[in-house]
Amino acid sequence: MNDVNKIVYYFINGKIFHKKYLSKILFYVFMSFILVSVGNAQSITATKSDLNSKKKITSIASLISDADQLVKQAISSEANASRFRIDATFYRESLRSLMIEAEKNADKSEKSKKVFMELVRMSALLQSAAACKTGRYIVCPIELRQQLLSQQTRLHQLASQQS
Amino acid sequence: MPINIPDWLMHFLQSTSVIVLESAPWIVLSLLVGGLVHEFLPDSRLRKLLNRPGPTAMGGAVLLGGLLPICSCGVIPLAVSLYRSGVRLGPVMAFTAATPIINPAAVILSFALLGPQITFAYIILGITLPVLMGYLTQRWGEPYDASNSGSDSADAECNTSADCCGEKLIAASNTMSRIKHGLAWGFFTLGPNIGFYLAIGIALAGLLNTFVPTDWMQTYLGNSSIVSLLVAALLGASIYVCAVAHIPLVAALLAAGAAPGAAIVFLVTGTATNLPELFTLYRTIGKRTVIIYTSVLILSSLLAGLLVNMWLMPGFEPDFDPLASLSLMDQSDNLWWTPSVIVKWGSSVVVFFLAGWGIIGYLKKLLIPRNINSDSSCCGGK
Repeated sequence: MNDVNKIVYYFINGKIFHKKYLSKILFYVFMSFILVSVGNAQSITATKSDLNSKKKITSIASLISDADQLVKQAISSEANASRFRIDATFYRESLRSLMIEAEKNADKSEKSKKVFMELVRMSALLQSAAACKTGRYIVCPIELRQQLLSQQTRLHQLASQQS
Repeated sequence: MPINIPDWLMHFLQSTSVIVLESAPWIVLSLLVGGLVHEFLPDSRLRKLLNRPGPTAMGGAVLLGGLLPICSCGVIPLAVSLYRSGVRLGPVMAFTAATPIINPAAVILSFALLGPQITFAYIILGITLPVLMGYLTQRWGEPYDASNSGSDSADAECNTSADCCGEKLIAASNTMSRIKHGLAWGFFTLGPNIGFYLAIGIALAGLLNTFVPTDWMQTYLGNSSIVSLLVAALLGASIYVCAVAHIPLVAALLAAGAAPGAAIVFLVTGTATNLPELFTLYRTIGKRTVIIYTSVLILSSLLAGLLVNMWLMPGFEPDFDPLASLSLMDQSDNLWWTPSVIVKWGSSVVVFFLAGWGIIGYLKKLLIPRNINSDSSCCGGK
């Protein structure tokens, strides 16, 4: 009997924790976790280089239109998971640099604070959507899709009020 | 010929698979830790602390739960493992409730997106509720089972005589063999035992997700009436809610004018429990405990929701510094593990495997009556 057959035999007979096979199973599990962590580390490096290569967003209007694109992708259930994660992270970083810029220019008006608060909420929703990866694509639950759409509407209303 | 699958069945399969994929990594992680707890806890100081009478044990359980960033499905194996390692019911239930609610990542994210007032209410409720639950389940829950203490519990629950004999054969002498023994118990004894109930609970939660109207969140969280709070509490306690994933949703709803009390009710009941957890606790710990646990959770969160509405309404609007919020969101991300797709699928396979094993064990027990005397003689003989 080969290893797999023996493991199945021991499993069926309730002797799976037989010392010899248990250590083998634990070894396989351990190795797969190492492989997964190496894979995760590589994807993080890829994210950093991808973020650096993207074009910087310099206005609130372009950030809102970027959010529109991301919402559209998130609700389509056809967005590539890793691409979407990179885009959502880029969106958050762009928002951060815009806010730092606004603070430097002493733009602390209540109106711009409100827009930034809505953009922060949108960023949090997009990060939640980025976590909804069930395979190659992003598949968001229906509640999240609804909230993404209503947050998008709210952002547009606020932006039009400001302009 | 193409097969026409009804819409509800597709929705059910989709909801169920999402719940499995989201909860499986936590279940596997918890089985791993639970196995080690079962092996190392009986002779540790922690067990003595958790078994002390009075507030020390409850405080210790809440603190221990608060330090672990685990969601409500993931806490089940760990809680059952603590119970079977001889910890009293009260601290176990306090730990079970506290772990998903006072999750450090969720608290930070709540501060970032929901503002200081709601976070304050959330923390206060997250500490008092588990303590209250611990005391009530200790007082009126299932009576203490002496066979539950220490490593003896393994013998009380093993399904087959082979399990009993096997466990006794592996004499845990050094640390490495104790770790192996603990992991074996976690995955091959506890896993199939709770996997079966988890599978049923997850299927029930998927069914509920299929038939609950999709706009229920807007409808009930947007309203401050007691009926809405009650529906938010009941649905929150049944569906699978992970605090970290749902706080952005609640933040968006609050910005759209949802009642802050309803947000608190949903967040607390949603994160503290769900159908898979309740069903597993019902089968592994007992009916009375689950009834006390659920009713205390729903009634206390309802009361808290009403008080929060009185405090913050009307005209509540969460206020936060946007730049500081982004930094806090980063901190929360650092504290929270988002499993990769491979880990999600791999853990789901493990959970399926354990559930299948549990179902086979259950059917075996159902179809082939066990001869208890022959089992004990086998173990005794060894």
